[in-house]
Amino acid sequence: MDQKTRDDLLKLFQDKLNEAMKFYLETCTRCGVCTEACHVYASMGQIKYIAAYRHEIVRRIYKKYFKRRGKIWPSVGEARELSEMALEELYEAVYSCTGCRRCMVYCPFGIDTQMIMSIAKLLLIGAHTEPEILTLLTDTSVEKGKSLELFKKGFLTGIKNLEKEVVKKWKIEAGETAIPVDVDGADLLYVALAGAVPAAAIFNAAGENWTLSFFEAVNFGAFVGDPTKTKLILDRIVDEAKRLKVKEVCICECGTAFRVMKQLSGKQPFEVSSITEVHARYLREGRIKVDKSKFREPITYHDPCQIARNGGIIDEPRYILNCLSDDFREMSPEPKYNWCCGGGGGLVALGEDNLDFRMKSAKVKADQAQETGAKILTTACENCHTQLIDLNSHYEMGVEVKFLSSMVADALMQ
Amino acid sequence: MTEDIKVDKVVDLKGMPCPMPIVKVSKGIKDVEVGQVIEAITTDPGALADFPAWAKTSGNEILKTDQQEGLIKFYIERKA
Amino acid sequence: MWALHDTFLLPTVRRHNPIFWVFLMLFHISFLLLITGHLELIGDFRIFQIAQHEVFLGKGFVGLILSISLLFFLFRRFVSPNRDLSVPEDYYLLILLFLTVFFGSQMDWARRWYDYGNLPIVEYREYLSSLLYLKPHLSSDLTSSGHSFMLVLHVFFANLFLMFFPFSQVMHSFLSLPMNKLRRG
Repeated sequence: MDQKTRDDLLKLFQDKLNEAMKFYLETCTRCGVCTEACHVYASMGQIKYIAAYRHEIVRRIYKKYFKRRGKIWPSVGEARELSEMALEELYEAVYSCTGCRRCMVYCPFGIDTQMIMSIAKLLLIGAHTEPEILTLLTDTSVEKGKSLELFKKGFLTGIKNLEKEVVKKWKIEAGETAIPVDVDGADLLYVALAGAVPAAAIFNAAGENWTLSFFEAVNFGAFVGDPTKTKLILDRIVDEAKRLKVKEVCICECGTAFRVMKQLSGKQPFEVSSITEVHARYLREGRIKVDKSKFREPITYHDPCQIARNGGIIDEPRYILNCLSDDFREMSPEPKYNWCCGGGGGLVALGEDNLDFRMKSAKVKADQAQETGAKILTTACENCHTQLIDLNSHYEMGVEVKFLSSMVADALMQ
Repeated sequence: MTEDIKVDKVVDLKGMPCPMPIVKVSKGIKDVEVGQVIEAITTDPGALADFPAWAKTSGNEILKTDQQEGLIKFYIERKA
Repeated sequence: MWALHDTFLLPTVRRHNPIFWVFLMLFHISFLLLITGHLELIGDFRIFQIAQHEVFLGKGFVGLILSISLLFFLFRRFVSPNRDLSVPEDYYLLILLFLTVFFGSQMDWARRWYDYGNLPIVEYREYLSSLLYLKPHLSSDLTSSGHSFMLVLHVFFANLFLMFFPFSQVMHSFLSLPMNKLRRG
């Protein structure tokens, strides 16, 4: 690696060093309490997957270039030069981490591994060694927002095609639109992923004054760890919400999208909620009713890390499930200790390239789900959903993987 | 019109949720030579906006989009 | 409030590694007691002399607990996976602390358990304040007493430790509270 590249990378590193980040880098005593926290370590047992070891890979570079100690006496803290080898190690550390933050719950200091890993992600982007596909997805997403007019027609046609299916689930009265788009002054802006059918049916059933966003919820910028693009993708939803003067922005089943919207959008004139929260609210207020006899088999729920542990939505899905079924079984005694599905942090989007790793690293999750004896495995995150389907076929778990919102839609009573 | 396009490879993306269609099609296009055409079949309605944006970003060209009942077919020429 | 709870009672460690937690609590409490015990040596503030140092040194057992828990921490790092997580700094610090505590306690143990003469508090006090006010003066009572060798080692290692302190991860003692506040939001 030449000096210029290194300097550029170190500048990126420098940009990431805010007060909290310095604390995270300084404080770790390598006490090893986090050893048991990582699902990858628990499944595969390799030292390099322990949270503290992942930090250390970033920390070594930090010591070398940002601490006088690392300059004078590097070996005492194992400070290491930023080289091609170091980049490879960073890649290994960061693209085996799902950012689930289970380790943060273990750490006596509350060190945020995901945040430290964000340095690694940025360095990889700077060195152009990040997974190509994630950047491509990010750029596609950015492009779509840039030339909205160009793609609007395709989008609207797609939506029109869906309306028939929405009506199949919930009949609407003549003159109403099954999927409203671009409604000025709507109460709720729904940011979906492709295919908003179940959600639309439920909104219509609850008589919500809603509108569908032009943009998809998922923020690939956050997966690849590019702060500028993350902000770009986030801001256009914020702008749309402001333009339509909505009171609430509801994010679909996407953990990343929810966390980014909720925690990085700053103070806005609207509320941010997840689809799960909204459904629980409808049920509580009696705006929708569900048929308890629809699902007779035992159900278990996988808490998506970004929505439960990192987003605080824990009671709502349980409320919904208790409305849907008499046989809901908890996976983990405490939801905040739930194992990650192993698909977060952009790992699922890497597709088949890392399928083997994703399956091996999530063995504990598969075991955990199977121990409940449930036949239906439900979740509220697109990423987890995809990963759980893969796990289901890999470990022959024999469960049915479903979205929580689809279950609500299926059980709606007209 | 469809008959005019010679398809070199078919990528079946039926039933796959976002973003898998884009992931798969990016891989699929690498399997053909520049100038050849792939046919991508998807059920994902978001693809109608996603694919053109992807094509623009990745520098490929969508020759034709075909919508049938519940299915969308894209004919994409590899340009780069 | 909860941040204070997280910082001082280490609930996450108690939950996931109870044995480690017991030693951690013993170590930190004893350490605090010993620091408090040393305050007595600063003569200028009367308030530090209110309680006799007996209270804080716990008949020599505090030093013993401290030494044992330091050895525990050290040996724990010899075993995988902690061995692979540790860097040399971690060992140095533990060894340094152990030596400081061990020689310090030696003086106390010698006096209490083997009847090895008196610990001349007054002279220690004078020595420390003479250092503090930049007029070093070592009374001959100190050097001639049987403890002198231990004292020299104790002070030497303590100084090394203090020098290393701000550059090492022992800084966790100050950063722990703000960090836990960050987590609690």
